[in-house]
Amino acid sequence: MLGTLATPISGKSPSLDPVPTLKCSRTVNQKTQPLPVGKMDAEVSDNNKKQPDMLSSEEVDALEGINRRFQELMSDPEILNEAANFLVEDLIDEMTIGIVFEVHRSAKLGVLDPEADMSGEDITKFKIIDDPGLDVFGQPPVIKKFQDCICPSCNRGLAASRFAPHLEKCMGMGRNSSRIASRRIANNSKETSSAVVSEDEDDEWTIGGDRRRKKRDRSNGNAKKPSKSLKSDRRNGDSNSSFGGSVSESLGSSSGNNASFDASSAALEAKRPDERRTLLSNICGVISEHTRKLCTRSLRCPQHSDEQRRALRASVLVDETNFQSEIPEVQVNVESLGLDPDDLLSGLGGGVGSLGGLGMGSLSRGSWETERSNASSPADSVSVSSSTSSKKREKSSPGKSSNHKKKSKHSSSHEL
Amino acid sequence: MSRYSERRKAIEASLDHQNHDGKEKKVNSKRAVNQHLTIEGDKEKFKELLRRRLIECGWRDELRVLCRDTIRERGIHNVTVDEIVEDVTPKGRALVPDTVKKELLQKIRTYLHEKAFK
Repeated sequence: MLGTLATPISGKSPSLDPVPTLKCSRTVNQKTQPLPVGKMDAEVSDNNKKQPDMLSSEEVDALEGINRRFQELMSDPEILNEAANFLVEDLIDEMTIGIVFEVHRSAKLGVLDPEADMSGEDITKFKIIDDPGLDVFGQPPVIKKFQDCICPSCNRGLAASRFAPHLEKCMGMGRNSSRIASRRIANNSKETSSAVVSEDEDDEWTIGGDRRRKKRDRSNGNAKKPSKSLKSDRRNGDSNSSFGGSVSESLGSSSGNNASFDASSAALEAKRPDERRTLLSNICGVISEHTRKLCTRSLRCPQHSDEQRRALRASVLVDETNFQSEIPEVQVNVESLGLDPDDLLSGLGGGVGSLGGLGMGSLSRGSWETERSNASSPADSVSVSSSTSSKKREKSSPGKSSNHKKKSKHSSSHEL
Repeated sequence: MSRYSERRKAIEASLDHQNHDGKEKKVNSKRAVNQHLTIEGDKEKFKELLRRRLIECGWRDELRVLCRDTIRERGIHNVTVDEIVEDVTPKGRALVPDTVKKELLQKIRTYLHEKAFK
């Protein structure tokens, strides 16, 4: 900066007589044009400049001249006032120019616009209102409206809080209604399956179904209801006269369950033996207690045990190969179960006489059926009757249940 | 840096004007005062004081709005700094509060007085 200033001055000054050539900045002087600097210090000392060594001797002379003139002028108060006013205006103008530059620059750069939009009277529109009871926009608080929902199914307007319960009822969505729906589906399948089963009544696989059910009986204990084939149902109808009213009722309900159970077994039975085998090689196939359907998961399905699977396969696949071997087994069952009603009769006495009669009746009928045909399952029917009767006895006379328990254990072991 | 360059400009100007001493005295006096203040470095002090006062009283913001209005009037693409200065300077001078002006004037006067009779 100093160097740049030095050149014009030195260029101009030779034409001016009283002013000698200026050699400006000290650095320049010392490096390029060395000057006698020692003289300067003495001259400057009375001037008490802050950095006297910045100026050359000529400059110091000029400064002295300025100072002298300044003091001359300031001795006149009029000029002093004038100078003061001039200075104030000058300073103000400088400030103005500074601001103008600033604004002009931001305007050219495009920074100004968003700010400019907020200036003036527009600003009152967006002023934040600080009155009590109003929000920042100056609006009074509105009472919350209740949202109305229109049901897409029945087009009724409902409060939002009541919408979900309504949908549950109206559209059949939600927990309870899904239960209802599943029950409905189960009922439908029951009807259709019972029709299928009645067609398959004389099918050779009815026995297989019976056997499966027997195994299920064994594995589940007496927690489940007795299951019977349609043939045994029919026999139940025959034997209702000898049964007690309550027993026949329980049998009726159990026959309903039988029908649904038979649906799955019938589905299996409806297939050819080779189809059945391939099917069982792919899926778990255990018949579920709740849905009464074949489990369609993989062979490693965690819900059912290997034992259950093995039992099912044994029953289904053995049936088709060793059909003839069924007969003696059934007969053995019948005989072994046939012992139980005698035990019961002797142990329980007259209170359960009718039940004993039931057992005996069914037994006699069972034995008759076994004699008559291979396809029947008298053992099943006996086990059913005995289990129902045992339930009743447990309720009526718990004291005698030990005998009965022994008996039921007995029968189950025979069923094995 | 800038301060020293200002000082140097002032000195330079004074050297120029010493040659035209026969000119009008008022102009010279103003210049002389200005030069003196600049050289002494006191002008910066006054400027700083004024800037602070004007910011305090909001003059700067007012002036900015004036500048913006001028720019908007003339259109941002055909306006120059000189035009804006021309437009804004008289208004800006009028807008400076009297108290600020008086204070500054007083201070400068006392300062000059001291300098003159030291």
